Amino acid sequence: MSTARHPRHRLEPLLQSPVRFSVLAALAAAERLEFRFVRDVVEVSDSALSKQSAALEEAGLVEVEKGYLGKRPRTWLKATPKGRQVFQEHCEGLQAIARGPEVDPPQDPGER
Amino acid sequence: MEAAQARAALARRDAVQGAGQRAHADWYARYLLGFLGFTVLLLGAAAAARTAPAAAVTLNAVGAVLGMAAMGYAGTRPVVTRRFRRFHLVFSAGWSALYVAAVVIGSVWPGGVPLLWWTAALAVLGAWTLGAALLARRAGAR
Repeated sequence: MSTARHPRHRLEPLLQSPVRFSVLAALAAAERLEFRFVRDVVEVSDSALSKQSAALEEAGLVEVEKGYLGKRPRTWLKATPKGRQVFQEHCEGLQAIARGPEVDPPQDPGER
Repeated sequence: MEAAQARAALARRDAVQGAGQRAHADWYARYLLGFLGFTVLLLGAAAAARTAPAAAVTLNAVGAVLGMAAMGYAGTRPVVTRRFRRFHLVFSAGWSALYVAAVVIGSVWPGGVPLLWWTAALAVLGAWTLGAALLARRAGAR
């Protein structure tokens, strides 16, 4: 019996949502991103992004920083080290699934 | 999850990451080209005026301030890509080292040949300019 586990086991359930996956994908490639930029690139509303980023923050995958640029309030999002690692493992799982099964195909009896 | 869904998710990842890198590279490439243009003018003016080391070091400080200002400005941009600070630090430190080498060795060291150092400095600046242009092109291509 094979001990290899199906790559789906490497997927993070929280990232099954396309919006949460896209948010963390954007953050994984950046030092930090402004809330409005993430909203525009992921194409969601303010409230939807706020809800999803709160879920990611609660899981320890994202940090939310609030500050001011001059007198204007700004919110930045940043992936935590745990968030980057989880995202990388999730992507590795996706790549394995996209490649298909890694077992050797059965031999054609006619070739023997 | 099926293979098609996995491929769609990976494509979505590439799209959002590409958008971020484009936004960052857009302003940084413009900064690099402006900074390099400023440096070429600075080096040209210093060479034409046969700048004394003290004046040259003062001018170099201006460049260093501009470099640090870019770091501060980066913090206010909507996108700051990973490893940017290290990349920019290497860029600024390399520029400063080149300038100091040109001034100190070319102008002060007995037997130094300033013309060779200015030429070398401009050649490296040309390479940096090319690098900045490639960065801008790469950002636009994604």
